[in-house]
Amino acid sequence: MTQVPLQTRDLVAGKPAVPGAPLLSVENIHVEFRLDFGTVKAVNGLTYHVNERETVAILGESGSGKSVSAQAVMGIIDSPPGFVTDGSVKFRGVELLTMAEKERRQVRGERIAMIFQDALTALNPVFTVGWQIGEMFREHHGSTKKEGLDAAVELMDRVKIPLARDRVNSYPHEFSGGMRQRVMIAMALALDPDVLIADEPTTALDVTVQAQIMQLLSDLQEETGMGLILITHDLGVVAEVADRVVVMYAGDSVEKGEISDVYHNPAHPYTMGLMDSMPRHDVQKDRLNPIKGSPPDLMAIPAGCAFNPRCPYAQDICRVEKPHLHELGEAGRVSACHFVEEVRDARNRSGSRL
Amino acid sequence: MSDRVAITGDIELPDEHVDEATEDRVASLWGDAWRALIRKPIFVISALLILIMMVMAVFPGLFTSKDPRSCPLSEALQTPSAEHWFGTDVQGCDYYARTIYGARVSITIGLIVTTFALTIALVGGSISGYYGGIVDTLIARVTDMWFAIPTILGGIVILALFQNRGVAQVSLVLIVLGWPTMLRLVRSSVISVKETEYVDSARALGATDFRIITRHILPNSLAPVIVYATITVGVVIAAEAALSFLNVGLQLPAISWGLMISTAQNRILTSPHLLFFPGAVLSITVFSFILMGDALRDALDPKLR
Amino acid sequence: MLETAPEAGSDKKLGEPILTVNNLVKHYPITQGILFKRQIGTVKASDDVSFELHRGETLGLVGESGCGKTTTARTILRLETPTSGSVIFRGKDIFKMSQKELREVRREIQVIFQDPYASLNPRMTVGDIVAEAWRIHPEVLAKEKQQARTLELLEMVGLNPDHINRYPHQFSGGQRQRIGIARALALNPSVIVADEPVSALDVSVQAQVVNLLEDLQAELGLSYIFIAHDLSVIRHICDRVAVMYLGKIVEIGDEIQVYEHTAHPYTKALLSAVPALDPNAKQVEHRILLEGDVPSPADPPSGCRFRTRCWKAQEICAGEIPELILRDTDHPVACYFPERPA
Repeated sequence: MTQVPLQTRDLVAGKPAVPGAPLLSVENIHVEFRLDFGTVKAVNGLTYHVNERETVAILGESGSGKSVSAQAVMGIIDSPPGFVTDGSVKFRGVELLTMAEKERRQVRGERIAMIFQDALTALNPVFTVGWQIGEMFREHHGSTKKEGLDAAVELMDRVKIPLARDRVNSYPHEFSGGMRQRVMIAMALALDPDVLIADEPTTALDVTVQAQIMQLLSDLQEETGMGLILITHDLGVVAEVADRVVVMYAGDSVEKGEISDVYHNPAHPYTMGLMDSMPRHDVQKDRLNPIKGSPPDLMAIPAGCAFNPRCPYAQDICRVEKPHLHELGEAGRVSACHFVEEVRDARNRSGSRL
Repeated sequence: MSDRVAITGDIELPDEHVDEATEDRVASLWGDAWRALIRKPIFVISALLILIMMVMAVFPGLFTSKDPRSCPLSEALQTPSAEHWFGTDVQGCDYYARTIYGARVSITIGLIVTTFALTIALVGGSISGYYGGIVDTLIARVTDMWFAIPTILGGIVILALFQNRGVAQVSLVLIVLGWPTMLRLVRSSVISVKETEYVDSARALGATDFRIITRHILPNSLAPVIVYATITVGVVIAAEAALSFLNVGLQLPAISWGLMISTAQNRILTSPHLLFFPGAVLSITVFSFILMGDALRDALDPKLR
Repeated sequence: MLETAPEAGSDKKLGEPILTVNNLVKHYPITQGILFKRQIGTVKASDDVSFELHRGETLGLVGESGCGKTTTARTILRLETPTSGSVIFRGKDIFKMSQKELREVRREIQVIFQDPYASLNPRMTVGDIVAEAWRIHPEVLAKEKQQARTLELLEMVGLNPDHINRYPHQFSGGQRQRIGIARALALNPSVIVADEPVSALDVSVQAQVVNLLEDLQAELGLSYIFIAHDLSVIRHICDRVAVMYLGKIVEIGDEIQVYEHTAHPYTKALLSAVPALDPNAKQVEHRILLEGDVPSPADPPSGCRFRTRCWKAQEICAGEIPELILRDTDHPVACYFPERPA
């Protein structure tokens, strides 16, 4: 591995990094898609940050805007129809959204890398995996073909693809789903990024393979100290690997906090509903307690709190005023619920907790 | 990834909201497609042009009071004038009237050929695609071999065998040569729909093959076929003109655009209007069908909406 | 041959068997050539699968992709042509039935599919989708009663009956799955085969559908064959569970037996791979990380199919295929070295 000298780490596309700034911070970001039949408001004011060696999970169901927000961070939203209408994305304190595309490209892949759910479509079927991994070095470091291939073998070893030297010239379809995901991770790690965004990295995989991949990601994080943003709908995966969690609903966070705080003492009716909806393999549960209704239409997000039509605790104010994030006692803990204290008390009284 | 579902228009509504938001949207996919179509200028223009051509074919008298077969030689080869809008041809016939009456043959052949080829394709393609196995292998291979015959070349060879060549003969030849592409399309469309779970559901309910094909498979595999059939009408009209031009299509005294272009070629320098008017009308007609096919493709493909 | 073991350790009374699957085999030929196809191999998708489904119970088939759970279900429904074996329903072998007899049986055994987007004909209204069953089996319900019954069924699955004239694309994923359930119920079946019915749904909606399926079972006395890859969902909804690996059942028992007295190493690894919902669970530390991938079903290992990834494998495992029998365990297991309760 060619280690990037430390002093260049202090520069972000030629601009000086701000000392002490979080690795990546996203503030009040808004994304909308302007389509023929209306405007889809996919992300509406999301704010979060991730530090070195930290794993932050963005947890949400389909349509919550979790993937779109990651695409906004990467700067890979198709525009039109997608537009980042407001907000800020800072990498080591340097604003990315106002950066020229040429500079942005230096950050993308090199400093912030991303892996996707579907490794088969994310890899080009007509090139060998070695060529595709090597391309990162040829493109960004001007390596020769030979150097690129050697680096590819090294990376494939690092993501524990057996017989890397023999398989470097294989095509993506010759690999299993789990191995393809490893290839994607190898490509993402090629340039030793500071932040890795993993968008549903294990959703398409079987549970035993999922365990392998999550283990690999956490080993690699240990090794490189990168910040990991894990986008998923899977509460189990989040519980296992995340340090902090951001729960998203209708394009905005409803609750944020340290993972054990959120899981043991959820502070938003939506999070509570998710927990109660989950069947367990380790405990017998008589009856699931689902959230009623379905997620909102992003073209007509309910006024006030977006969750109010599905919320068992909703009052008049919830239908009018969008709740801001209330700070709670614990570190970094916030909840976007008008009645956070009441709701928590009610839940604790009823004794329905994990 | 799932987020993308929401932004491509497939929006999930909470139950209470469904009532208000979609009350007026009780519509089938065909209905939706129709509403998308009438908002498209390309569709409206091509549909209007096709409509005009159709009316022209059925009621030529609405467009001209002149008889295309009354040809005083004394008026031969006149250039366009107030009396003869498109001028006159070598025999002195009114060229405007002949162009109008020519629509009938072109449109008739276009529609007949497409209808019959489509029928063959729907039956053959459904059987081949749905049953698979040896039937499919046979039909598919025969289609492929047939497919290899170039339409115009095949048309020249076969039509040369006929002494008298009218609308029926030309149509027959174009049907015989035209079905393979459409059958291949129906077959692949049927195969993809056959694998869907709603077809499995129907089978699990005990539905007969006939029911499955007519109620489930065909309605859902029709969209690409309709698009192609629309374009085919235009292509057939052009093919008829080409065959007539090559003197293996319709014969005089039939009135067709292809024949008119064919006769005009000798006088292209002295009387260019003889080539221009039938050529322009032919191009507009073919173009309209192809445009309409494109508009339909956009409207019927839910992925593009 | 498998004798269904006495359900020791379980005080839940099992009903009589309503459906018995004996040695079901489904092999797909792998062919090559365009005009003259020749077989160059066989995918053993489902290989010698036997189990009983009892009246009123939910039997889970669980395993990873490629384990043959869906093939097994589709073959029972005769959506796939069986290679061999038998499925006895009401004393008759479904695999030997004529088309006419099969039509009758289809009234009794219905199916719910995974994909709520692909399982409904997009060109039919909800009313037509539900009522199609009676168009096919007019003897079940008189024409004039169909409309009322459709409304009743929609209500029963939690849909607004006013939406009877809407098309599938106007509903959300969870609502579409409810339409699929209403269609399955139209013929008053006694058995429902549910193939990953909640896998495509979001957690909160998934719980709604799971609850609905449970309620319908209690109300209508249905028996379910419930197929899923999600071990938590299976545990929640199933009375008995069969774990499959590469076309074979490796372990079958009631929910407690399989989840708490796990006997097969594969099941153990599978269960340990599921992330716990508790951030403090430290599950990772006791996790059995399986090496490598599932072998190809076209070329499965000799003997025990799990042996290539099993940490307990010995020479004997490569020889005879271990039978699914009681081995000092409280439920049948196909392993020479099963885990036994301490």
